[in-house]
Amino acid sequence: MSKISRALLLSLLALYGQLSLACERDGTCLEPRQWHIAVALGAGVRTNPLVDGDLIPLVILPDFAWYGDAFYLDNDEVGYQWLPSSSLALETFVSLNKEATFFEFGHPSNFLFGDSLAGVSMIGPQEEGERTVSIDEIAKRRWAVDAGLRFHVYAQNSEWTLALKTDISGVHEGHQAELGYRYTMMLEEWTLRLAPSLVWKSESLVDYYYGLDDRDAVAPSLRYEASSGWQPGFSIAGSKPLSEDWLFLFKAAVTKLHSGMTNSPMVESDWVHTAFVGAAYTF
Amino acid sequence: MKRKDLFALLILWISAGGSPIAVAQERAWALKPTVCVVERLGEVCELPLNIELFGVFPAQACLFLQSTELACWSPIPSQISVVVEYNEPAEISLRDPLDLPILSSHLDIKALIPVRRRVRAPWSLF
Repeated sequence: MSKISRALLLSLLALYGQLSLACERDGTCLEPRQWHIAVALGAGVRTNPLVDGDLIPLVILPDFAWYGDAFYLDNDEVGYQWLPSSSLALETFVSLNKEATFFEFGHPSNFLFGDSLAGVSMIGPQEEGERTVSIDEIAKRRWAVDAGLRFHVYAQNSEWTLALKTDISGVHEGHQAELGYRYTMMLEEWTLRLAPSLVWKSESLVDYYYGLDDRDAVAPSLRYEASSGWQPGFSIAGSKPLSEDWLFLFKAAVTKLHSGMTNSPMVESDWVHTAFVGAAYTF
Repeated sequence: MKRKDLFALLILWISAGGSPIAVAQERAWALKPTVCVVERLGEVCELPLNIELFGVFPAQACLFLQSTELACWSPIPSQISVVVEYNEPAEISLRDPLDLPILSSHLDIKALIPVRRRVRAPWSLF
């Protein structure tokens, strides 16, 4: 290849910037039209803020994705990207709403996990006369499916996202807005991601899951109408290659729940914590 | 010089693998090239690297790619040719016998087959 041809080729690569391998190390970039399938094995848990809610064990975590030129499948989300560039991106999508996770096992995020922690309550004996309602006493909360729009702004090591979602399954007819920031650091062989976030959930959404009304077999004095609110969160995740196919992986996250939810008699914690440490294999 | 010519010169300079001369305490080096091109993501790239040194250097020095020692010299010559292998962006550095960095530069890697950035973080199910 002549020097000028090489110069032009590398100029295009540098200018469009979409071919950098820096994001490949932690799996945030994929080759188009190739399946990415990975499984992480390890130990972890997600706390459950509900009264008598079981801790959610994290033992086997799947991660799969397929990206075409515009269409994509990324874990529980199917979407179409209208504006994929190195600095901006816009997509519309359909995804599973995870709010029902706390109410039952069977969610994709934990259906593969053992039930060794099932039945372990986060709380001690309830005080007599305490105004609480166990999730065992309430009507079933159904899974919902959202449709949404997400906008990304990328910088060298960081990313801003704004996502707007609405229930299209008719379960609660609520809405959700998510503002997120992610900063990625490379330290020797480690890739670390710090991600603060802010999520707004509408009254319809929160009241469907955390409100108490006619559908629930509770005393009238325990009825509760939940309200909308903002939930800030923060997560840190890290990974380090162990071999060509294996990756060491950890994640810790915390979310502060808003008072319109935590004042519900069925909610007994203001926080949700997640922690996981394990090894991931990419097929 | 016309504006168009200036732009063309800039593009050629960026893409020809020329790197700005790194300066540290009256020492400098020029590395060429600093970008290696592979066909697809994850492939190992072999980059024949030419290094030109300027200034006064310690009697002994060693060249490192990330934390891997590539070669040592005593005294270090003013021109070095070495083949480096890497499959992701890497740091190349010259270190003294006390393992203190004298000079360092960034080596990049590009793939001909483009990659897609995922819209969600990996392991987003949990």
